[in-house]
Amino acid sequence: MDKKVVNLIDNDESLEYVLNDNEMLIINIFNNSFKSVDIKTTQNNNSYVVINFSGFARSDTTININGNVLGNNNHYILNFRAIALENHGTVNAKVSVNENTKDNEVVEDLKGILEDGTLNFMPILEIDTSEVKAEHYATIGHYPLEELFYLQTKGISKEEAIKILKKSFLFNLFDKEFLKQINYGKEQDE
Amino acid sequence: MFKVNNLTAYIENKKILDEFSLDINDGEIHAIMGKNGIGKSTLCKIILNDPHYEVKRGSILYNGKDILGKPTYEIAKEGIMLISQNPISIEGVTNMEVLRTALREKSSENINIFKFNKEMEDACKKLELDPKFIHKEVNVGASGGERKKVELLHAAILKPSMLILDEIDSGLDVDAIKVVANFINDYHKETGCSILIVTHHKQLLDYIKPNYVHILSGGKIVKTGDYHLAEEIESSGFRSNIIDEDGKSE
Repeated sequence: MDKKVVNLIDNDESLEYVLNDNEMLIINIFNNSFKSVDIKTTQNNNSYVVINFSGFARSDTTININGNVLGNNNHYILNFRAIALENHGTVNAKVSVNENTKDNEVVEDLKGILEDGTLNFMPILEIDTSEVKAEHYATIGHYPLEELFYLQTKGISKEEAIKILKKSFLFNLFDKEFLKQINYGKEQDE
Repeated sequence: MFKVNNLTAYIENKKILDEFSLDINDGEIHAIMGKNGIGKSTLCKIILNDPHYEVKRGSILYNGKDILGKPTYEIAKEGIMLISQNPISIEGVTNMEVLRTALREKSSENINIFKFNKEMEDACKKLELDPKFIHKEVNVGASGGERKKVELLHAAILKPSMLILDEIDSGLDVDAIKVVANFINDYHKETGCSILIVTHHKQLLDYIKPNYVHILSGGKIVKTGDYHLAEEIESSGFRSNIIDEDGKSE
């Protein structure tokens, strides 16, 4: 399979990709401040798309992520993580799977944490075939109290515990290579 | 010295502790036994100020300082460490990260990486724990026994002066109980720490000999004895004449 990895930091441009037979596309995006962008992928047959998108919502933004599955035996995975620091972030995540297609698998997993902002997730599956495996999840909440308590029982202040949880929430999606590029951990240490 | 005075605590308007009192002198080992749901784990969590519980009366003093209601991390910094019955897992956060952050908060001095790594490796060896756990995410994918060992690894590095062990024997097989108990005994001998053990079973107390055994019932300690009290419970159960139906000692 031909693999293409796109690593983007603080991306403010819309993206569009078309995948053909035996192509794999991994898009990693970390935005320190979300911008309103559109991301569109179109898959024909035997292709693989993974979109890992995380960052902070600091201003009113709308992100549209659209996956179109036209053929057979494709995989589409969207992992989205947002921390709403202020204002309002909207994420419209839609995957369409065409009729008369088979053996496709699509997953949308959106998670958000609210600080002083708000989030609205719209994970939409438009499925026109019964021969598909499709799942979508959307959760929005606060930092888990149990995890905060656990870290504090080690003598870690609430502020530092939140930093740790923030980092794991946003970056657990990414591989080491991209994490090096982001350099977020080092900034925090400094 | 650790001293709990007349502690009364609630969860969702249900009274869990009722004028509970307990004194632990430096270096002593105390065990608390009692039926399921009687408030043993609640006591452990209240000491560390778990926000789920409401304390209406009483005080908790540690080395002369009133720690009741203090932020959890400050209580931990005073030297009290809780190892809970079911240590949680945290995805994306490694044991190394937790310990380095905790040490950095504890002392303004730079961490001696060589000493830190050596202590971690030595503790892993004593605990018969794969050193790879140091760099693994906290308890993610770990078995019940591994979780308890990881928590003791944290203790080896953070060096608390008081350990609260909430059913540390649950989920451990016979061999693992021995390993864990040996580790705790060595730690106790090396540091002179105080230990509060919550357990259902005498078996752990066969390995870690307590100075006192207490029976918790009706929100307070209803009987105190030595190790033989645990033997009595083991053979006769809590329904024996050790405590009556109202939770009072005979």
